[in-house]
Amino acid sequence: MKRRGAEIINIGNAMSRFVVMKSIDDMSVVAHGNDLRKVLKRANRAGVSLPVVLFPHDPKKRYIY
Amino acid sequence: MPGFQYSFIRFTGEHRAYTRLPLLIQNPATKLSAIVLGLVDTGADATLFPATLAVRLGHKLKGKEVKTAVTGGIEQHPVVAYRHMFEVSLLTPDRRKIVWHDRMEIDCLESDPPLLLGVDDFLCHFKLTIDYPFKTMRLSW
Repeated sequence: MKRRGAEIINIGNAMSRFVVMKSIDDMSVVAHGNDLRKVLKRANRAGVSLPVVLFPHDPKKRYIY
Repeated sequence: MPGFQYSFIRFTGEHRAYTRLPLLIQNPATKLSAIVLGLVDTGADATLFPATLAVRLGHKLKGKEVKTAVTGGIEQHPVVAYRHMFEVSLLTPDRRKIVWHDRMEIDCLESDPPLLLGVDDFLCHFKLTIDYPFKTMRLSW
């Protein structure tokens, strides 16, 4: 049977340009913000060795690539 | 012919789901890696990475040997891109196994855009079927 529907990833209220999750097994937010360098540094300090980086879209914007 | 079906992914707070694919990207020189959910952009000629991510993976963004290219989006503004080598691996929909892998030179932009998967270097390797009503896409190769 065909699977339908989108997968929803819970990033809480972290509506930032960049969100880093702990790992693939533990998708909890460890750092978020609008400066990727700072966000990755914070995630690194939190002990994340293989960061999972998400790029959420701002719901107020319409994106045209 | 191997193939996998991926659901669109919506992050909480977004009002719709997007065509995102799970990838493991690695700098072959430093072996530093990150998992990203790249946006499938069938209208983009080339894949784009945020420069900060390239730096985080150990690339020298504006190093001596680094090739540059001029790229432009729909706004038609020319932007300088720095080309770096990455190992790009496509993960299974549950993100536990690597199912496809290639080494490629990718343009990195200082404006830190979201990671866009373009045609010439990534999507050209796949047969891609997007089912918008069912919010799924199928990649086979």
